[in-house]
Amino acid sequence: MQCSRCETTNPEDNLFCEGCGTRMGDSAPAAATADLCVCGVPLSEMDADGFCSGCGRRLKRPPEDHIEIELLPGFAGVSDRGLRHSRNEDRFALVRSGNSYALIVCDGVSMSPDADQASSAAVQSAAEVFTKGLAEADFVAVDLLRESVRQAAQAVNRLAKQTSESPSTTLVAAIFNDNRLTVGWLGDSRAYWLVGPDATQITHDHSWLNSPAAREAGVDAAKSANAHALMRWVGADAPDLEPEIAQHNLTAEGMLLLCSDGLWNYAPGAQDIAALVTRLNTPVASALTLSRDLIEFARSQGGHDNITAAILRYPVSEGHPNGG
Amino acid sequence: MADSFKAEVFQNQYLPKGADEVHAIMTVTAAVSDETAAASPVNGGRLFGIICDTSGSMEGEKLVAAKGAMIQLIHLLPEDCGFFVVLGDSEAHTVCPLAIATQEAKVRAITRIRDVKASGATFISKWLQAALEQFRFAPTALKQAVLLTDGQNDKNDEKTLQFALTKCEGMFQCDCRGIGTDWKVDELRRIANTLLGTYDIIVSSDQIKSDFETILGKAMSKTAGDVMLRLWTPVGANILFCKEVSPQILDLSNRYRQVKPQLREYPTGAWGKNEVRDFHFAIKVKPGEVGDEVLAGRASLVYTIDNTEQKAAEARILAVWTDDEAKSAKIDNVVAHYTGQSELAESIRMGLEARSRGNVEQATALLGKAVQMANQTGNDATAKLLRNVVDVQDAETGTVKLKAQVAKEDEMALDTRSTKTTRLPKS
Repeated sequence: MQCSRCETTNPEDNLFCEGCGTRMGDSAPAAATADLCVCGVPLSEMDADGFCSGCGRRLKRPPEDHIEIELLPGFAGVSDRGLRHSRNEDRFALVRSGNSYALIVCDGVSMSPDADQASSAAVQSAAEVFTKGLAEADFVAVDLLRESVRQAAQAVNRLAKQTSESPSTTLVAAIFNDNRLTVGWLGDSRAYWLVGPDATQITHDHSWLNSPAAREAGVDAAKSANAHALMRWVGADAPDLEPEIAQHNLTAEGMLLLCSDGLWNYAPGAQDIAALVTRLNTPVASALTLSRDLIEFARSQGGHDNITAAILRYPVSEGHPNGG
Repeated sequence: MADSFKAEVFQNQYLPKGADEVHAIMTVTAAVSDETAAASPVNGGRLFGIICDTSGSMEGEKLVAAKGAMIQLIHLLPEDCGFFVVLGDSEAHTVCPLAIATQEAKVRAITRIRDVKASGATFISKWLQAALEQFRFAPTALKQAVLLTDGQNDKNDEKTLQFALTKCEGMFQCDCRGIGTDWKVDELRRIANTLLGTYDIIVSSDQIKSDFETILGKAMSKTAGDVMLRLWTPVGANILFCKEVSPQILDLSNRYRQVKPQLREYPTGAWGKNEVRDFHFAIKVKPGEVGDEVLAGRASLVYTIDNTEQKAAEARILAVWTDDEAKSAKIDNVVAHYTGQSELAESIRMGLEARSRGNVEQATALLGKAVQMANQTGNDATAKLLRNVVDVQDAETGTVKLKAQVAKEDEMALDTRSTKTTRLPKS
């Protein structure tokens, strides 16, 4: 990709030009050379899958590379491929029905085949359960969460061709209803509850580091190559499909953040996330802007994994968070 | 017919920084939809040619058996199929020119076959040219043949045979069979490979009949003729090889037609219903930076129906550069399997060659390695053939001893069948 201002050739992923710092991409006016691939073949000769018909280079990324959803100024999320992975295997969904809200984040397990399809199928199925469930009077949040995991697991299982290598995904989902927050999860995608400058990590990772075996291994467990190995997930070969569930009664204004490890790897502790969000949220930003800034933060740190952040501000208001 | 072929690609698309070689296996299945099954098999009809050696060496039991097998084959021909018979010695005798397989035509052909006596030498070039002349009468038909010989081609015919093969290539397909042990494996392999057919040894005369029956059955099951494997590669890429690796190894690398600068077509001949074949591509690309994604190849099958080109089974071969060693170090199971099967065939070929040169040490090492690989990959058919040539002390380590006495037919059977591969079992 060539910068429209200084004509420096930049890697495709760059958001900003390495030469002059101009923002790259959509907003940049089309330069004369922008109609050509780096190999000189016109972009018009790109094939249907987005590959250059000359050099084979990927010119157009699939839409899943960067997904943004905003349902309300205080209810939004962003998912991004990051810088190092060839595709985005994270997915998320936001559901609203009356005064009830649900968020789902899934991170396809990249060591499994078709990880993107696994997360996609899981999110879709869970979102369907929530869309139907939240609309019913007197639904029980915990039951709905369990049902969403069951449906997600069934959808993911249908992708499995052989049990030795099953498409798999993490799953974290949250429901807000009646001033209550219910969170369920399998794997290491996380939920944080942020109040003012403080953050509480609601979930704890289902990783080897948190397993009894690691506790026995002692202080060096965190250094082990296995530290982040998943112990629980959604997939045909999953050891079990019972999500761990946590519930909180909400008494103060706050913000829920669901994210994949592509974000929290660069801010591992709850206090790191709290400091990061506080910094990015000054002045108060919309959920979408804040999600975008969190993604940008992870990319600036190396973007080694896919990154997803989904946010809901509580109490939910229809207007802009700073009253605008 | 768009769903007539299905393709699946097996590869590890992740390459470490600096790497430039992409390997992929494409499994192609000729699907049977109701539409395909019901459709008339071939636009221009089918032709089946019978080419049989009647040189002096065939005299006796072999000729009697060959005649019996030809007669049975003619009886079995479907009535809408065209056929002809070329009997060959120093000359070619088209005893039965191209005719539709009606009862009268069959009877006429059979009478002529019965009368034939064995005499003369083996000039295979002339037989092939005569067959080609017959096939030329029906250019749009699905054209297949069987060739049976018992001897080595005449030394004076060597150059002409090469010339004839060049002319016949792409014009018809031909399965080749050698009866007895006086023919040359390399020679028959060359003819069969050029004409996209199978080749095998028939050890005893009484097996010709059943073998011919199988060949005809397969030939009549073909529904799509002249199918080409089209491979697109990016500018600057270099196709290191393109091989059919299942059901048998057939190197197509030099058989391409350059359609456009980045587009090559390899012949795959005719396909039958439910037929499954695997192809192995190795493509050298320009190494990319970490995070780059490049389409290293796009493969598809193309064929013509009613003068319209059809394209099916499109598959993508990707290259993605990563600094994650866990990803790039993984070798795809299927790629590994066929790499092993090719090595196995190569070890056998070189091992037998070393053995015939009298290089015991080299032959033992190569055939030992073959035993080990056949054992590891579960290629039982090849393992069994190997045991006729070597005494296996330990299959796991490939410890073998060359047999002092090896029947000529066992050696030839191993040589001809070493390119037959096994498929990975579905797990």
